Amino acid sequence: MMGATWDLNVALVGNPNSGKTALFNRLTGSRQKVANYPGVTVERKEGFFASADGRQVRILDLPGTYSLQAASPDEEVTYQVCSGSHVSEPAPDLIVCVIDATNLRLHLRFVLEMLATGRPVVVALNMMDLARRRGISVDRKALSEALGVPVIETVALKRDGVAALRQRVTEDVAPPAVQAADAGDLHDRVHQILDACVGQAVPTSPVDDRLDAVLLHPVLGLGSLALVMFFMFQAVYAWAEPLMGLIEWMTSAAAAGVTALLPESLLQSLLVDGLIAGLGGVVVFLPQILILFLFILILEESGYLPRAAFLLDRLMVGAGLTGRSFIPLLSSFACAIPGIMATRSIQDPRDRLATIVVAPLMTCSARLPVYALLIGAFVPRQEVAGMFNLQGITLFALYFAGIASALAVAYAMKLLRRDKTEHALMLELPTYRIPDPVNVLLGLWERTKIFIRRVGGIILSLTVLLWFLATFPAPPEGATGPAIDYSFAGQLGYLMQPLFAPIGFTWQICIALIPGLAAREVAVSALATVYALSGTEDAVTASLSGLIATQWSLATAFSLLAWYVFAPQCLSTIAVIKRETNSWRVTLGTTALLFALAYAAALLTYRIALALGGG
Amino acid sequence: MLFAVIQSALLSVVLFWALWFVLGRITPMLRARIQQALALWLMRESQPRWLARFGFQLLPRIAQHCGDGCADCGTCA
Repeated sequence: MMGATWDLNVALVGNPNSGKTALFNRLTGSRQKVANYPGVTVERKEGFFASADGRQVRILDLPGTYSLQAASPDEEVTYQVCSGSHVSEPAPDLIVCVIDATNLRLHLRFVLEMLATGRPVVVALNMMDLARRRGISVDRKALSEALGVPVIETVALKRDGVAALRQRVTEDVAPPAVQAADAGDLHDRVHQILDACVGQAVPTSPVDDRLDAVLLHPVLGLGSLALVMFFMFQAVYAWAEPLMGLIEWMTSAAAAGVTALLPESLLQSLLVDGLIAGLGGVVVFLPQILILFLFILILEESGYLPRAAFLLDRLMVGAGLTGRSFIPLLSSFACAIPGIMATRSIQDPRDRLATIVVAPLMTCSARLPVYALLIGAFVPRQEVAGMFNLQGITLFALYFAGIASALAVAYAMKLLRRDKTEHALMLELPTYRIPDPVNVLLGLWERTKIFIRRVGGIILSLTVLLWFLATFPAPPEGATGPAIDYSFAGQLGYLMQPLFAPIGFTWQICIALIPGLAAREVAVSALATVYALSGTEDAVTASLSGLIATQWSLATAFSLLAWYVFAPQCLSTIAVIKRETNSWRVTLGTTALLFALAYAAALLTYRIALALGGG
Repeated sequence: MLFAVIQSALLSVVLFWALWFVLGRITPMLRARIQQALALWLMRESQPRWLARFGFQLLPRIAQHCGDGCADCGTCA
């Protein structure tokens, strides 16, 4: 949004997971990420709406905080904006305090702190549907009188009350009477307000209690978590097959169509060997990516993920991380960039650094096409124990290898540092919710758009450049080998091969590693283009998976898989590490560490596979 | 002959776009500097008005508001 002006500046604040971003999306028509766990928003976001009287209202969504005494970098942003001390952000004209009606004891404390700043406040009493279902009754008028500010009931996920809130924020709101109070006073005052305005049958939800008895159990809980993860990876292979077959058929038909339509020429080569082979090789994995995200979105919506963080806290602390690392590491399964940014919610700089260093080891979705390609080519599609498929088990093992290596690196960092103190995990467990199908579908649509944008942007552009480098210069007269051998890319591949020969990489793989620096999945499209240009007519129409199955050894394939578990080559991740740590030492150190780990793991895998007869 | 001309023109445009796009992704500041230099050159007084207008359109947009962080750049998958 460039040069935007506004008549009214409104900030949304509140405790984490109170529904600020859902309300922000409803008020402004935005589609910011929403999930049923704390810490999703780590930087401020702005949106706009026009009021009934034509005024431009700016809404600022701020990271959630439990108190105005900031303890982590994301909370600091909220404090600075609300207090008017932010360097580039003017103090808001009005603060909308979003509170969770099912947890008023905690949330009202923050409202009282906010009232003490003396700024005009409107309270959005959110999640009223859940409160009613839990038998919690809130006397809104009495609450408004007790707080001395307007209170509006809302259900951010269902639009309820949003129009009323829009109306109220555009009306004049008087600043509250400032009452300085210490922590003890706030506590007493919250209890007084609760006694006067809130009726609650039971303190917690019986359904939540029953589910938590199983899902937070030290043994049953961990078993459930392992089962969920295992089922997820099985489904990725079992459910995606028909759609992948359809995409492969469409790619082959498009290649055949263009070949028949255009004479043999550079243009035909660009379209068939470059674009169709390259992009088709990546798009085919879209169904698998969407199935994986379907599970992640359902888990996010349900409120299960913070429970998983709680379950894994002991393991993570033992490895030198903290339970708070769980959400950033989980985000890194989509992409390391939001994962690294999510570390802003970690208060201890030492824990934050450890999480940043290991976040790239989580298997991001860009690695999935590479895994799927190699597993499809080299792991037989056979049943194990009559109910699991071997390909799904291999994928599960690769994801697990990423997690295990992250824990190992964090543990090594723990051994090396002097400060051995540990920090207890304080995490608010949200109420369980049945995932809203519309939200899940919208989430999947967002993932599809991101994927298509990547295919039409960075993957397309790199494929075009690689096609150029693999096509020019033309081979000299009387040349006998494939034309690509004489091209820039071919020469570069042969130049790099001695460095990667000990880990079994061919010159084609060496070429694919370079564009993979910009986006990991480009390695797949690059391989497809290189093989299409270096092969015969059959190579163009055959699937990449079938080609590499006949041309690579098993040891090479496993070595490349091991390389991609660590996959150090992602420039965007390196850039965000630099931005978040503001340290070249950490950035270069992390890059060197990941490269060394990738090389060592690939070397070990390759040598063991060769020794076992995989050559 | 016509096919060869069209092919060369098409390939040049596609290659230039690809190079420009990748440059923007890998070194956004360098691309912005090149874009700005080109725009300012086109906007010189000696240039025809239509070229100056094109130069103005070419000026890189500098994000000034919140959410400018890389969470919004679309790079992440």
